[in-house]
Amino acid sequence: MKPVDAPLADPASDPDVQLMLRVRSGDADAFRELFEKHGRSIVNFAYHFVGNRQRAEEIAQDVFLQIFRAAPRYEPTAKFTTWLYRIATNACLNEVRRPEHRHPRRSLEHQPDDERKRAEIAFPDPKAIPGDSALAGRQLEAKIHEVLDKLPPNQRAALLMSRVDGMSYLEVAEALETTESAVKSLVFRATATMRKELTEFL
Amino acid sequence: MSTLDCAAIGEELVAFLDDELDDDTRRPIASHVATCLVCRREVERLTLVRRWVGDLPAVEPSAAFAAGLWDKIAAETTPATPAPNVRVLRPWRWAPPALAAAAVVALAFSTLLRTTESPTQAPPAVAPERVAAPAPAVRKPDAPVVAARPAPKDEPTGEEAPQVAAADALRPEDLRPEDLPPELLEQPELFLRLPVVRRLETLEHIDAVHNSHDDGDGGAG
Repeated sequence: MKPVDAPLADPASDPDVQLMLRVRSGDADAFRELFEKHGRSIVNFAYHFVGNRQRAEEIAQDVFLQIFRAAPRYEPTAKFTTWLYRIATNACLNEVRRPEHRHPRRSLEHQPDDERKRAEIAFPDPKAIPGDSALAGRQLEAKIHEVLDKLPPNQRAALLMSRVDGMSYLEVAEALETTESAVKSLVFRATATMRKELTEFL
Repeated sequence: MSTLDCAAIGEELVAFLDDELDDDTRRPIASHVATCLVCRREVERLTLVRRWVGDLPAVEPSAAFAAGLWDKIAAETTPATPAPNVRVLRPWRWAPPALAAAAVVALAFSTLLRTTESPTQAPPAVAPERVAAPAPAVRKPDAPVVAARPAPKDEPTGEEAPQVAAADALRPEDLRPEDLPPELLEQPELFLRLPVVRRLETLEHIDAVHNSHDDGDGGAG
């Protein structure tokens, strides 16, 4: 494993931690700034995790609500995003463990326009794709989501934090409250499953 | 490197691509990948998969997203309306009229019972001016409810009609202590034991408050 990242050694150097300390002091603007900075990321993390945009927004709201509630007791012991994603992961895990959790991702045909107006996954060589490459890109996206839904929740969380949110294994380990080597294993297994299931696109 | 060596580094390739290996582990893997066509191809595939997952299109939060959060926070910071509590309903405000109404019902009931038990006795002490005529309803032991009708002159009516008219004619504000049966004045709690009274929802609240005090629950919640 790589040596411990320097920024984690001193959480106080994290600008988000400084904002959170201001929130602790009652600064509403600081809270709004944190929300505007990270709200979209948490919605996306939750969306890829639970597969439903509306639930993802509700989860993200609840995550920030928890942060708001916890602000008076906040102590900077890690990067703010580590804490944020720990709360978000727990919220998503709770969601997918609910017995009534049945949020199949919408098929491509039923996606509203605003969801379809997004950049599509690019193939390495679009000319090599027979037919409509945009459609193929959407099919690939749907397949990735399908595989994500099948992954064990911990693997899903580790893969999303690592690949989508660009967090280091150490940060993911802190968010998942596990070890770095466990994260390495989780990310490897998730990637191996993804690679196997996406063979037709490779 | 041999095929076995390729299998051995297989589990390290993802961490290798994620740049999560220390130098001592990373260097031999890099050397192997540079010379092994199989591993190089696998690295290319894993690189694609990692990129596809990392490039998953982001959803744009709806306009209601931020507003919903501020609403939730506002709900948290606004003092909540206290839950209804029988202790703060101030029962003394509604207890007197309820008790008076119950007394009227009980009085009519008691009067009827007396009439039924001793039909030859004189009418109870209900002021004549408070008795309406004709009687709206007649209650007999063998006929629970009989429609009111003017009594024929040839029928013995002196004991019956005036006594059974009290329930509808009396009003709570007209009630005087001397109108009440003496046993009720001596033991007011008998009121609460009358089935007709216990059916009154308001008095059941009184009962609940009364019981909660009896249980020794002194905390306010």
